[in-house]
Formats: sequence, structure tokens, C-alpha cells
Amino acid sequence: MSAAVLLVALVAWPLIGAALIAVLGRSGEGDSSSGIDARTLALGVFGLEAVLAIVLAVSVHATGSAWLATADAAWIPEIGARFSLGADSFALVMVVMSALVLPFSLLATWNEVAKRRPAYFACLSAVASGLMGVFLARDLLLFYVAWELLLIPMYFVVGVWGGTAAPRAALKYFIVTTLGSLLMLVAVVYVWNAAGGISFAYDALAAARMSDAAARWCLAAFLLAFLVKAPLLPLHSWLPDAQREAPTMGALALGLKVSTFAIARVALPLFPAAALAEPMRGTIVALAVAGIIYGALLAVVQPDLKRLVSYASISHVGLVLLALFAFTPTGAQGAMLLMINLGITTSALFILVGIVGAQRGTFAIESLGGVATQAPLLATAFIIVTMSAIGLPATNGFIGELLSFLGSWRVYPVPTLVAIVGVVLAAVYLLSAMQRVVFTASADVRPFRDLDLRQSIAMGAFVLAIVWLGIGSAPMMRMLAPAAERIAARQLPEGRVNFQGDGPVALGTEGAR
Amino acid sequence: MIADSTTTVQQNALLAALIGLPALGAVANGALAVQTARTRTHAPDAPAPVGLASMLGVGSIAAAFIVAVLLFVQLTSGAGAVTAHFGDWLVFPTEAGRTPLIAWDFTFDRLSSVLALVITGVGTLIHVFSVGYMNDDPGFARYFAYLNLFVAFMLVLVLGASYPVLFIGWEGVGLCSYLLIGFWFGESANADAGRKAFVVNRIGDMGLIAAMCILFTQTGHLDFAGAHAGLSGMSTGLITAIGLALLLGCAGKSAQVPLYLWLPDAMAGPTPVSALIHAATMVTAGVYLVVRASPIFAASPTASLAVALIGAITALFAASIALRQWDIKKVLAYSTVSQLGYMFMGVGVGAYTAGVFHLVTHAFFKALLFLGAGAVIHAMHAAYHHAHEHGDAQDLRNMGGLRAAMPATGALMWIATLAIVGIPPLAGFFSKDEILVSVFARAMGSPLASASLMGLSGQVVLFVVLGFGTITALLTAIYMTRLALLAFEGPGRSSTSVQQGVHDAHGTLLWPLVALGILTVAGGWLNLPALIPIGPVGVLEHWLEPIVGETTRRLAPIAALPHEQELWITGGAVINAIFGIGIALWLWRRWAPVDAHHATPGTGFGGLLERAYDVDAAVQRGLVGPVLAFAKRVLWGTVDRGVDGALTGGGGGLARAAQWVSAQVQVGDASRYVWVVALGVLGTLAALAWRS
Repeated sequence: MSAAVLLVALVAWPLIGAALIAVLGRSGEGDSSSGIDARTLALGVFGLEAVLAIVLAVSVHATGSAWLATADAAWIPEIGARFSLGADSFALVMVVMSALVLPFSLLATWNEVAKRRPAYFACLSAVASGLMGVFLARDLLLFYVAWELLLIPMYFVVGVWGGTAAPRAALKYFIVTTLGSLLMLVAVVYVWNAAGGISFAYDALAAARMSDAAARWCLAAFLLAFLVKAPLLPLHSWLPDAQREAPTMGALALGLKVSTFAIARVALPLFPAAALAEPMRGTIVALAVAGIIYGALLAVVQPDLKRLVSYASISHVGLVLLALFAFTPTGAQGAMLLMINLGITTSALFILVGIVGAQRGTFAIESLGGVATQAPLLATAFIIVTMSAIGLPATNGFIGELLSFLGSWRVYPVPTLVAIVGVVLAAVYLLSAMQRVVFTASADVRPFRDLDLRQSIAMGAFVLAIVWLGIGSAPMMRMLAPAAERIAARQLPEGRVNFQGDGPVALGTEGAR
Repeated sequence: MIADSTTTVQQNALLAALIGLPALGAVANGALAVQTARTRTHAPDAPAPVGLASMLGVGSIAAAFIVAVLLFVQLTSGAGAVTAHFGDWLVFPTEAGRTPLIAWDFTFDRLSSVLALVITGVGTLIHVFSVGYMNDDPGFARYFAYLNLFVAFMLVLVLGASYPVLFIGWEGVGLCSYLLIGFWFGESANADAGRKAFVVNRIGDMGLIAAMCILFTQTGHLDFAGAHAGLSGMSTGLITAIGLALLLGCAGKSAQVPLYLWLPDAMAGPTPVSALIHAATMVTAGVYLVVRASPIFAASPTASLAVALIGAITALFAASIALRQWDIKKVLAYSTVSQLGYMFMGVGVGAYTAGVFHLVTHAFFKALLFLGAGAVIHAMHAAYHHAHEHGDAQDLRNMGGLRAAMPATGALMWIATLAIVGIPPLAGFFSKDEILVSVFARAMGSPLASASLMGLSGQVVLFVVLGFGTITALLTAIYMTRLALLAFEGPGRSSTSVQQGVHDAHGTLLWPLVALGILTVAGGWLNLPALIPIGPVGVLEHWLEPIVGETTRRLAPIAALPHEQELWITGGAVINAIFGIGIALWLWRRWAPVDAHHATPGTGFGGLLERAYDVDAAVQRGLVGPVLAFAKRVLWGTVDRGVDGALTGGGGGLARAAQWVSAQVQVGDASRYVWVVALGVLGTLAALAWRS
């Protein structure tokens, strides 16, 4: 299978899958209608998607270009939009990570959602297609469509299958993110027009001639759309509500680091000069760093376990943004590693929280406990995932953290110092929560079930990823290094990197020792 | 640092085995522990797999010790340091266009060899002791899983050839410490103590991360050799900043003021854990790091003085608290904090060998003291159990006269006590003496004495350090003799039936103590001073010369004091110690006339010492409480809701507009509105796609 076909399949297959699930699926036990269990179908869809991603990853090889694989077809010739996809190393790793997280998350949450399963999994499948579109698009209109595809089905996931306060949370999520993306749409049209109105290709738009002021306003519009979703302080308050109410898979999909990817891939390269402009850059850095401490402090005082994880991820995203806006290659490498590994770790945390909460019918930290004595596998997984979230060295959580610090220090020593303080606070809230949930004896006398076979397989995969990425990421990092140089230079994968004379380092090149 | 000579495949394998064996033991015991716990969920009284777990647990560490000895023997036969490369860990680009690497590199050099032998050697003894001590604990396999994992991480810490790899071990041992302090998590105080240890350590780790950031930004390297070579072009101010940041990290791990607060609480863990982690090995990691980073500290006399001063303050402060503690483990905990302060004094004045020497001897006698205390607690516990009485098995007021019932333990504890007090020719005498002599020698004239710290001249600081060290030695003699007297001498203060139930340790609870007793007696011969040539002189100093010789001389070009002056200091120290023992003997009968039940809390200054100067409460009231209240009331209660209100308020306006629009098109609820948007987008796309 050629790489181009794989790229198209990665984006299209989940959409086809969504239709299949919606049409053929049935709700499972108690549903007498004919059809296939929607969960089995969804597992098939997500499973095949993961296979496609892995096949793509192993089939690409150094091409001399930063794009490891591309696909391009005419789409709307009247306005110059093309169905144009491409994967550089960064996009490739994000695709593989997301495509693997989804089927394992599904395995771990097999029985969580009971009502209208076909519609639920169809929505999630559509979200997956949006995810892949955002990662792989090389055409801004295509990107925008994928971005909306990511946002809209998620509204239903939260609103329809969420908890008691879900409708309100979902509406808040929808309004806030839609407001952001509407502004982005205006900017998209403006840039397209400025570039002659003949193409939406990233590289064509990056070459558009614009006044400094216009570029800044456009960048601000893009950043606003992405930073609302990220989220950046003080635009964050929809996230804890949405993640708290959403079913586990919705919560973890909201936690995948799509928006910071979009900042690095779309917003910054389209307006590389404007990205340096103050006060925008300084404001973002200040808010990001404030968010690290703010999210951590709010996590410390959360009485609700799911909200705690949500505030923790607000704290974590601050570090990603700091490292990104330092515009150093080391920082960019750290930011990419954080995006990848936070996707894994936060997902695993939401799954564990979901498993614990589902058995006790509450996420109130005070009412939980007793895992260690009754569910040893769950307890072991809980400890390892928590350590990854704390950023213990030799877990996946640490590598991105360290490189982010190292890379940001050169440009922003004081904000980096504040960010390092956030590291301490991570230990406070995560250990307190873990102590309560895992180690404290529970007043609840009902027995606690340990992980079942599906959950064991899923958590085994997550733990394996946590440890393996913490120790053996060097090949991946070598592959990501050229992308880091481009991100720091705010360039598209097409562009030549300024940091060294002889262009991007080719895939697999040995680093200078 | 020694240039690595040709490292053979066999040496590579040995180094891998040294770290890998304890790690494998941890994995095997972990699997065993999970298996046991799963069996217990349907058969609650299933026994712990004691035989298999202890075989795996002790066996893996003993095997690692043998490997360490093999590597050490190769090193003594003149071979250079062994550096093994196990692939790359971190790869990342920089501005310079370089792609630096942080590799899985481990070095078994002369410094790490000393530490590795202590870790695996003393570690093996403590593992053996644990077999007896934890024998009837249901979490037996889990205990050995944690303890083995600890040894593996500790070896990573001392063998890692770069700051980040060291940091893996550094935080890894912190994790194991956390898990072992909270081992009996059924009681929430234990779990709280574990969390406190982890968090306070992390405050220190911020310093270590910051130090790495500055080092990397300035030199572009984080491996020891590269980073230290890059120091030459840096300003002294920056080097001092790195040194102080490292000091913060070291103070966290080695429980120095103001980050010592976690160590006394850490005594909540099983006693062998206190012996291995919180006395012999992990807490000395800060001392190790200062020695390993000696090129940084030697280049900044100010940072070195700060290390020494922090050490001196800690030594005195903790020793004073130890005077009035009743829990036998708490006395030893504060004693450990105090002795770690002594080591900091040593390495702070650039007497790196002296610091390492005291680290090693302290590992012997403090491990012995803790294991002895463990044997006492074990015996007291059993006695209370037999007598069907309730009492605190760790409270010195409930002891007394134990030597009659526990002659072997009592004798060994007395030897260890005299060693830490500094009575010749026991190990502690030599190592402590060397530190005091070094401080004095530096104070008499050296680059350190001519430097300054916060406006104070280096000489003043050094004399303060010397003074604090001397008073600490006196206090050490008092509180340690007090401990031994209260526990082992005089009449027993518990009930007769309890006293009759106390029996001496035997088997695995005894012979590790005997081995440590021998080391406590003989340890001083590791580094005899030229003044007392009762064997080969300065063995450790010669051994470490290639590592720290040059950096030592940078801070103290003139090595030795005139013999006459040295004799005065040494003699004075011995008299000081004997004086302290005398004071303890004199005051002894006034201490603890009654058991813990009938005792009243101390008042006045004594009470303040008993409550450890109320520092914990002050931190709780002055720092933790206000921050939590701020986070809860201000941030969460006010700010977060306010922000949310503004966001949804603004959004609410939009929502109303949307509702108005939907009302116009007769679509009632927001959900349908979203469907319309979604279908509209999809439909448009489909139509466009069809056209193309």
C-alpha cells in the first residue's frame, strides 16, 4: 500500500467506520435488534486505524524531504482548496500515539457506556477522523474542516453520554470553542485572500504578503482558537466541567494535545515573524506559566478526582506552551515529547479514574479508597501511571519535562524557574489523591473488583508505553529532532531550517557526539 | 576523572549485572506480591511466600555485592574506570545545530566503587536482617520488591555518568523511600509521612533541575566530564549559582536544614528500611553529589562555604533535638540528620575524602544502631504481645535494663554508641576527627578562608563551623550515651511480665549485627591519619586521589597541619567525647524515672526540644495552611468561578443570540442547533467533494 493511500485511509476510514457503526451496530446486551455489538465494531474500526498508523510508520523512510509521506488530490478547484495530506515525523508520531490510545481506551472502558452505543461510538469515530485530519492536513481549509469535525461530535459525546450536569457543560464547551473557531475562520479567509485567493496550501499561505499588523491579528485569531481548546488560563474553565461530565473516552479525547500541535504546525509557521511580536508572545508565556501554578493549586484543593486530573492537565499544558514559545530547538523537542506523552499518561489517568469511579458510583476523593488491598493490579497500574504524571525520571513523563526546562531556560530563565516549582506541586496533588484512593482503607464495605482481562490488557499496554518511552525513546527523538528545529524556527516541514547551514538533518542521521 | 580505558565486553556485562540483578529481584518479587494479593482477595489468610521472596530478595543483592567486589578487584589491579555505554537515552537538537545526546552511560570508578560496595554490602546485611524482622508480615514479598528496587535505583544514582542519569536514581530512590515509609499504609500517619518525604525531596529536586538548566545552557553538556570541563569559561557568579542550586537538591535528599523535616517522620517505615535508606545509603546521596560535583564546588569557595555552614547548622540543630527524644528511632533519626551535617561540613570545606570516609563509617555504625534498635523493638513488641499488655515498644521510657535480657544486642549497641561518639580506635573516631582537623586546617589559611559568604569572611564562617562541630560532638556523646543507658542499663521500667518476655535476637536478626559490629570496630583502618600510624596510612585518600585530589588542593593547597596542632585537636575531641559521656552518666538517673504511661510532656526549653522546636507546626501554620487556604478560597472559590462566569457570561450572550436565531428558524434546543451546524458542514463538504 502506498503511503498516499495510507494517509487518505487514516482520515477517511474512521468516518466510514462511524457510518458502519451507526448503521450496523446494536447496543449489546438487552438489545434484540439484529446487528453487531457496537463495541466490537468500534474496536474493529479503531483497531484497523491503529494498524494503518503502524503500517504507515514502518513503511516511511528518509526521503530527503521533511514530509515522510504525502497525498494530494483536487478538491474544490474554484477556490484552490485541495485534499492535501502529509506526515512529517511529528505528525506521524502524534498519529500513531492517538491511533493506539483509542482502541486500548475502548478496551478499558468496554462496559462504561450503556445507552445508544452505536451513536456513541459513531461520534467517537468521527472525532478520530477529525484528529487525523488535524494532524495530517496540508491545506488550511481541510484543516479547518477537520478541526470542526473534532469539535462537533465531541459536543454530543459530552452532552448526551455525560453525567447529570452534562448538558450545561457541553453547551459551554461548544460555545467557547465555536467562538474561537469562528474567529479562526475569518482569519483563514483573510489569509487566503491575501495570498491571492488561489490556494489554501500551507506553504502558499505562509508566503502571503501581509502587513505586520494584519499578520498579528490573524495570528491572534488562530492562537485564540487553539488556546481556548488547549486551554490557556483564563480560557480554561470549560475543560474541567466538560471532562468531569464526559464519559472516559470523551474526557481523554479532550485531553489529547491537538491544539498545541495545531499551534506548532499551523499558527506559528503561517506567521513566523508575528509570532515573535510582543506583547502577544510575552503574554502567552506569562499566562502559560501562571497556568502551571494555577492548575496545580486548583488540583491540590479539588475534592473530585476527575476534576483533579483535568486541572492537572491544565497545569501540564502550561509547560508545553512555555517550551513551544521559547522557540528553541531543545524546547521544541521537549514540547513535542510532552504532547505525545501527556496524551498517553492523561488518557491512562482518566481510564483509571473511570474504573475506580464506576465501581463506587462517585468521584469524590474522600469516599474512595481500599484499592491496594483488594485490587493489586489496579493499584500497581495506578502507582505507575501516577509516577508518570508526576514526571518521575525513567518514565515517559520525565523526558519531555526535562527537555522543556532545558530549552526554555536559555530564553526565559525566570518563567522556567516558576515552571519547575509546578513540578513540586504535581507531587503534592497526585500523591495525595493516590494515597486516598489506593492506600487508604475504604469505609465502603463492598468488595473492589480488580482489573478484568480487557482492562488488564489495556493498562498493560499503557504501562509498557510509559516505561518504554521513558527509557527507549532515543530512536523516536532522533526522528523528531529535525521537526524540533523547524518548530523552533516556526517553519513548515517544507522550509529550510535556519539554525544550520546544510538543511534539516535527515531521518536516522546519527547525532554528533 | 579517569579516562576510560578499554572497557571489555565482560566488564560491560558485570556493570549491567550490578544494576540488573537487584532490578530483576524487584520485578520477580513484585510479581510475587501481586500474585499473593490476588490470592488473598478470595483467601484472606493465604500465607506470604516467605521462602521464595527472601531467596529472591537477599539473593539478588548478595549476587550484586559479589559483582561489585569483582569489579572492585579489577579496579585495584590497576585497570582504569569501567564505563559502559548501553545506548542513547535523550536526543535533542540545539541552536548550535548540534544534536547532543544523553546516553545510558554508567561509570564504575574509584568513587562509585566505594559507594557501590557500601550499598550492596551493607544492603545485603540489612536484607538478611529483614528476613527475620518482616517474617510474619503479610506484605513480605512487596517489602522485598520495594527494597530490591531501592538498591537498583541507588546503584543507578552512584554509577550514572551524567546528571540526568544520576537524577533517575535520585528520584527513583525517593519513590522507593516513599513506598517503604508508607509500607504499613493502613495507618494514615505512615502514608502521610511517605508523602511528606517525597514532596520535601522534590523541593530539593527543583534545585537539581535548575542546576542542570544552567549547566546545560552554559556548557552544552550534562555528562559529568563534559559539563565539568565546560566550567573553565564560566563566571564565578554562575558557578556559585550552580553550586547553590545543587546544594538545595543535596539538602533535600540528605535532610539538611531547612529540608530535614521529612527524615524524622520517615521513621514510620519498617526499621531495616530506616537502617538502609534513611541512614546508610540514600540520605548520603547529597554528600556523594557534592563530591561528584567537586569541580563545581572547588571553583566556588562561596558555594563550598554555604555547604559547610548548612552542614554545621544542621549538625548542631539536630543534635540538640536528639537530646530530648523518647522514641528510640527518633533519637537515631535526628542523630542521622546531625551526622549528615558533619559530612556536609567535611565536603563543604573541600575535604572530600573525609566526607566520604565519614559516609562509609557512618553507614557501618548507624546501620548497626538502627538494626540494634530494630532488634530491641522486635523483642519489646513480642514481650508486650506475650504479656497481653499495650505499650509503645519504641519508647525509651518503657525500656531500661535490657542488656541483661539481650546481652549480644546490648554489647553491639554499646560498641556502635562509642563509635559514633568518637572513642578511639572505633571507626567514628577517625572519620569525625579527620573532618574537624580539615575544618581547622582550612580556617588557618586557605582560599576558603579568604573567600566570603553573605558578607562574612570565610575564616569567620570556618571557625563557626568548627565551633558548631565541636559542640555537636559533645551533644552527640550526651544523647547517644543517654540512649544506650536508658535502653540497656539500670532497672527496667516496664512491667515485670514484659521484662521477662524480652529475649535476645538470634539467627538472621543477630549475625548481620555482628558483621556490622566488626566493620564498626575496624572501619577506621580505611583511612588512618599520619598522626596515628597503626596500619597503612590514608588508604582511602590515595584511592580517591585521582577523583578528588586536584579539587581538594584547589580549596586547600597546604594539605596537612603541623602534627602538634593536629594532636591538640584530636586529643581535645577525645576529651570532649569523654566529657559528654560523663555528663550523660551524671544526668542519667534524673531522666525517665517512670514509664511512658506515667510521664508528662516536658516543659520549658526541654519541652521545646521534645517537640523539635515546633518547626513542623510552624511550617503547617505559616506556609502549608495559608497556601491551601489561598488555593481553596481565593483561587477556586473566587477567581475560578469569576473567570468561568465571565467566560460563560460572554458566551451566554452568544448563546442567547444563537437561541434567537434558532427561534427564528423554529429549532428549539441547542442540541438540534449543533446538529444543523454539523450536518451543514458535512453536507457542504460532500457536495463540494462531489463536484470536484
